[in-house]
Amino acid sequence: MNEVIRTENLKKTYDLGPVKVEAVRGVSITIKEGELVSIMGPSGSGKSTLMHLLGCLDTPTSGKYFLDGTDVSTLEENALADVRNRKIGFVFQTFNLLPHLTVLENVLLPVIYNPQGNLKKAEARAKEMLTRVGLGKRFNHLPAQLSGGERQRVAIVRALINEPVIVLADEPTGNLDTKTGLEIIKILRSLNEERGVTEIIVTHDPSITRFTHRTIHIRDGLIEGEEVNEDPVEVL
Amino acid sequence: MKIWRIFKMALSSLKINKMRTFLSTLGVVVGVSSLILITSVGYGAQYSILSSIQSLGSDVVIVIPGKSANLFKSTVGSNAMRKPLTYDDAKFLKRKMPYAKIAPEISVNTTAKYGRTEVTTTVVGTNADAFVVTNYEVAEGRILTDRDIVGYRDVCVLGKKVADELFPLGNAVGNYILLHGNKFLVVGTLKEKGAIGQIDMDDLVFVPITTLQSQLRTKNVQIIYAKPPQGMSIDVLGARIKSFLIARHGMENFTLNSFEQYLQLAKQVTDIFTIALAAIGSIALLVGGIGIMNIMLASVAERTREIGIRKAVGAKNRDILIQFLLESALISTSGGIIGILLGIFGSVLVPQDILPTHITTSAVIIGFTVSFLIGVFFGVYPASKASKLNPVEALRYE
Ligand SMILES: Nc1ncnc2c1ncn2[C@@H]1O[C@H](COP(=O)(O)OP(=O)(O)O)[C@@H](O)[C@H]1O
Ligand SMILES: [Mg+2]
Repeated sequence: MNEVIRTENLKKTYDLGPVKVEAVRGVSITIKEGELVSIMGPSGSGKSTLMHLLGCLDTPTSGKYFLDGTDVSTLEENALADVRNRKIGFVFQTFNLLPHLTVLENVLLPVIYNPQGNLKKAEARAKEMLTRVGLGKRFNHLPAQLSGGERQRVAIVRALINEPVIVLADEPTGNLDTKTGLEIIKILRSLNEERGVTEIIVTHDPSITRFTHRTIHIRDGLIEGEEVNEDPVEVL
Repeated sequence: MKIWRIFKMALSSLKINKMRTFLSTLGVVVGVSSLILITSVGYGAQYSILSSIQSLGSDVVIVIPGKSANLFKSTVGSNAMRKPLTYDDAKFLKRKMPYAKIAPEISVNTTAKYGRTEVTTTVVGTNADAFVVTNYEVAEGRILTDRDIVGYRDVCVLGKKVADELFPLGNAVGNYILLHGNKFLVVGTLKEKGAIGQIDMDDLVFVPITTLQSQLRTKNVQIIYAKPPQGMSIDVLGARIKSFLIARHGMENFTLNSFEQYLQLAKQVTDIFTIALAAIGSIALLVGGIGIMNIMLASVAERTREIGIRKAVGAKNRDILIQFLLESALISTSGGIIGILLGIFGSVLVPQDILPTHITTSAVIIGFTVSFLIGVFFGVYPASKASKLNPVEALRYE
């Protein structure tokens, strides 16, 4: 299978003047097409920093990053924006929806910034996907009118709207109760199974890892270990 | 990304905080409306001078005694004392140039009385040509004739205002009135003429120049108007008058003017006035622009997270820049449009007889363009600040 992501000794150091914070200290990982991978690690271990690098929201201090076959570690700002727009779908812990846009408008936001985007087609697809995640009657609601779980579902549909090569979810259940969190994991899992969407899910909840193909353990900005889950459990 | 999308986005962002958007337009509203109002007053003054001079006829040469380079300087110089302009000078000019209208004039402020009614007015001693030069139209009776002049007759022609005051019921012609205690027969009245500059052209009584001069015991005139015949320019006529009078007086002890020169001068004066006041309006606009910049900076800070989200889903720096620039241009342009409307409204409210106003298309176009440019100019800094935000940091912003 094709490699969607390959990093070589990826490092990110925050220079805070007197102190330097080495958030990611040399991470080499490979994610194959169609994989559902979880990244586990305690708080402050560098998970979000790594996700920001993988999501092209930030640039590495050193190391190489190949996304979908191209080296994106040296791209300039505008090119990175383009990569974010077309190749990456990001799901945040805090949903990050625009409060003044409706559900549908939020989902279509990435299409607006996509030069090749077709709003008409995208709108039909958005409605279809929103309906599939149970938001068929919520197209014109504002985020404030939705529950946390519903907001995260909107965010997932937004992440998928430009048909990215990978979905990166940084603690997507972190702001949700266990039951709602499981529903979100179920959606992410079914997207992987039914549509073959490649996904990385960051979590510090060990119970989530059993639903994924592979778990990468990270601590202090380094990969601590990796375990393959031959038989991921169905989410019920 | 399509510009129309960004436009709609900017518009909906402005709708979110309506009160703030409204307040941020105020500076530009005040600036543009005062600009429109001020220039309308300036142009109004110019137009009223222009139209009054046109009603008099701008093709008139004016000769006044004394040599003066400046229109506004006193014309009563030492030369004038030695050799003033006389009625004979006027007759001489008429003899040399029978084709031209030559109207000498001497005037005095005095009282006019009919029965019990007495008014103060200005009596003008002049000749028949004067009525042609100043484009008067007869309402009743006739104007002065050469025979009135030659015969030193005690006859008069009343301006509209004097006629109305002395004869409120009409029928002035044929009655005798007292001018400074002397009896004059009213032979005609004139139609309304309005004011030319400071002079109310209807508050005048015209009598033969010969009659008034003999009563005042003088041969002098204060002014000679000359109007060229059809096809001759005032410059040619002016040059001829100059050479004839120099030959007669042996020196140039008089000054030639034309209304055109007065017009130019009036234009200059009102132009300076307009520019000075427009500068004040511009300062208001500048302050308005700074106000918009301030609000936009606050808005950028407040919407850091929004900017982060937009960038995270693929907005380029340019997309963010255009969005915020457009917002600021929208604020200032709508302020400009409101300002233009208020300015027009205000200029209509100004009492036109005191301060005539005139709205020009160029003032409206300039007001619109300037307000748009102010939004763009003062929006550049906040917008570029917004566009350069780092997505991760912007997303972390609370
Ligand atoms: N912008 C930043 N500036 C300085 N230090 C940062 C910044 N972002 C993260 N860090 C530090 O890097 C480390 C890893 O943070 P993060 O990637 O958010 O961890 P996690 O997501 O695993 O909790 C932490 O010590 C954090 O304080
Ligand atoms: Mg984190």
